[in-house]
Amino acid sequence: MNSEVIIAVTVVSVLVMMVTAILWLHRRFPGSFGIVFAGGLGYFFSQVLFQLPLLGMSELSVNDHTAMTVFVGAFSALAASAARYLIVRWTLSDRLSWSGAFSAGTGHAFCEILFQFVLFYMIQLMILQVGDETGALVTEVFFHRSLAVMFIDLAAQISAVCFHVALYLIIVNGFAKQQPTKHLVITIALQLLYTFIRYHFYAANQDLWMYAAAMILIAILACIYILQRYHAMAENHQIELGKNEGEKALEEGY
Amino acid sequence: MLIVTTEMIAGKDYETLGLVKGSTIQSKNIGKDIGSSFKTLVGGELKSYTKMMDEARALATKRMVEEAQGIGADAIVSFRYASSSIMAGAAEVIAYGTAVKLK
Repeated sequence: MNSEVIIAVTVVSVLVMMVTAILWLHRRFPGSFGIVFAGGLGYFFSQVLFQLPLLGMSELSVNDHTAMTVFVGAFSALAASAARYLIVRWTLSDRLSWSGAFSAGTGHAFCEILFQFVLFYMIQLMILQVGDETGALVTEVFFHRSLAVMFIDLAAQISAVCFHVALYLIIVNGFAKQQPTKHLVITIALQLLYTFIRYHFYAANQDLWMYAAAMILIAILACIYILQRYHAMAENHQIELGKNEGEKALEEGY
Repeated sequence: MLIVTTEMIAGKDYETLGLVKGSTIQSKNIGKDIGSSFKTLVGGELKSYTKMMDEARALATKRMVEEAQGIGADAIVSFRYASSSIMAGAAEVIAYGTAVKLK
């Protein structure tokens, strides 16, 4: 089996898994579809529409990795955290729940996977199909990667799902404790650290094994926090999305 | 809390306290909006919107009753609903009436 087939099968599998996960979420937590969508929009507006054009306009040299890392990290942290804060405030503040944060974080992470993994490797596949000298040159310079790198990319994206869910839970926790600003600052700091690790080990130094180890560690820590919040919120009956005020009023006989 | 659409309550005398109202603006999520758009291709009841309006009326009524209770009313007479479309897929429902205190 050649590498093109493996890439194609992996990309299709990732897409199928994402759709399955969204359908499962919708079945397990009714009403979560819109929140998944809102989380995805949060990523799209904060990262794709807002951050990437600014990065393109920046006059930072690609070789100046330290400055680039700080710039990308700071901007990514501010934009993504602001998006999380606004989405929780607009869609979840009247029914704070574990499943709401989980759905929004999943939407954010899935949208990131779509842009950073699925589209990236689909473009790579298309260029590989061109087959002429230009296609080969572009592939060699920009896109050609080993399968091991692709699977490390995939592992990093799976780690990102846990990380983004954890950040949404921190924001939801902030609203629950009436300290949203404090928790927003915490998420900005965590996202800054996360982005710094990704760029430092991956883009700047190509230290792939350290990068993979860091991503696995982040995933483990994020999962511990997600489970801890699950048990804490279960005690307060805040797992399900809960009924909105209209549904409650209808049940009360109005 | 007694709520009636008539101006009078048979056999009761009351003191008028004034206007009470409750309102809400509700929408469904994007998934329901898309689903309802497809439903319009073939016609029939848009159940998600029916449910949305039921909930909106219930919530508006609840808010009106809470306002009436706040001013010490025992009943609401001349009760009415009004609704309007605020934006695509979102509707406002107002419940209003006259709060009264029974003698």
